[in-house]
Amino acid sequence: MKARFALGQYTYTNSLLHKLDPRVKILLVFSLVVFLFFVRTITGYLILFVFACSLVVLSKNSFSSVFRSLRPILLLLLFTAVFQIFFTPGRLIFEWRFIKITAEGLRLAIYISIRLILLSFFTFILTSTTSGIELTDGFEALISPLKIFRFPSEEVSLMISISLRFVPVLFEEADRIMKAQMSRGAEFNKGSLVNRARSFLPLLLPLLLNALSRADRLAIAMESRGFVIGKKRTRYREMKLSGLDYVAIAITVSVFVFALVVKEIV
Amino acid sequence: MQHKKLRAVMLAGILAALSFVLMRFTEFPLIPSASFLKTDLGDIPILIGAVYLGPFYGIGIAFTKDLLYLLSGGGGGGVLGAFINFIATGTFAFVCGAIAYKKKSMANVLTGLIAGMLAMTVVMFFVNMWAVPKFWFPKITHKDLMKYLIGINVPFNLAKGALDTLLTAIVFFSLRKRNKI
Repeated sequence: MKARFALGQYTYTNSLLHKLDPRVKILLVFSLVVFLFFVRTITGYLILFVFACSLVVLSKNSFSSVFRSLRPILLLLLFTAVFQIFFTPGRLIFEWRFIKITAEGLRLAIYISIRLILLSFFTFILTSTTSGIELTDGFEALISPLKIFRFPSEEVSLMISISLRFVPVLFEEADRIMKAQMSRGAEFNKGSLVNRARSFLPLLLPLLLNALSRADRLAIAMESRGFVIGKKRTRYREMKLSGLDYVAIAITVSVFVFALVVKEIV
Repeated sequence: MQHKKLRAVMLAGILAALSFVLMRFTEFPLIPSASFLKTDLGDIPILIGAVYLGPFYGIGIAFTKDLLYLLSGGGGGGVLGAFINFIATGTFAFVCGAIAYKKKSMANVLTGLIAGMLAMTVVMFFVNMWAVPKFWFPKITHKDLMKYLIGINVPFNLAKGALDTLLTAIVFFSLRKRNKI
């Protein structure tokens, strides 16, 4: 139960990808995900797929853990693939009674599935090699230029780090309250829709009440230690670009351009 | 002023974490026969935050929750699922907060929630009109797309929104009765 609810997929090893600067990793993965939709050929996607697989090897993750991360989208993936294969009109390559498979359908199914798989692969590589703290730091550094437009970047990053910190605590609390209410005879997830929804109220209210008082105590504790929003602070962890980061940028960009311009061969 | 702001940011962070936790704890099918159309109570802390702290905090909480969702590796297609979820919840929370934040009377809160629910349904209609052919079914005909949107997507979002509205209102006014909000 604990493992299923654990936040993030971070693995504690020390690979080349773990050493990269979080800012670089976030930017690269973000641009890969956006530009993924500009690739038009299956060959291009296959190149990116090979690239993603080599990144998995580099990050010292096992392939079984990558496939485990695919599980939530497996049903969607199967459904879309089957739908494309059977219901796309075009040149017939296989026919048996009412089942008709067309070349176009097959191609489309591969195209869509590989794209969805690549999306979760790249997300997985980012989250498995970057810890929550690194991600927040990187994210904060990336959005801090937005201050010019009066965007409250410091508040946002403070909010993100607070929420990251409190997810495990609240999981435990929710679990405890749920069990406490069950021991008093509460039944979750039974009966009609309205009953089901209502059965969660004895869980929701204590959680929200605790959240409110926790926020009070936290704000007072931070203030008494002299924390002020918007004041210049020194950092405990400094981020610095190294040679490795430039190599990573160069490799990613060149692989991507190659995938973009390559001609279809299949 | 400073204390109020710090407390609001802390509360927003905790509500985002709570939203994520509830999403994992309270998943249940909306229509028992169609188990893939699931809903959860993760939106309630976001809506409470939007009414209590203001529309922009609502968007911030929704954003943080979806960032956590992304980090946990959830969602269909990773980034895409989290992004679309952010648009839906963000709209709901923003509209609701914009109407109800200034004066938190019962009528105002209910109007805000219902307006937010309708806004979310409309926005999701157009987002799906764009996203379904682009990412999932490129060859879908216009007729089939409309059939899916009007037959499944819109009723689903309305039902989900109505459930969120009902529960948020109950929770909000119980908290208020205890003078906590």
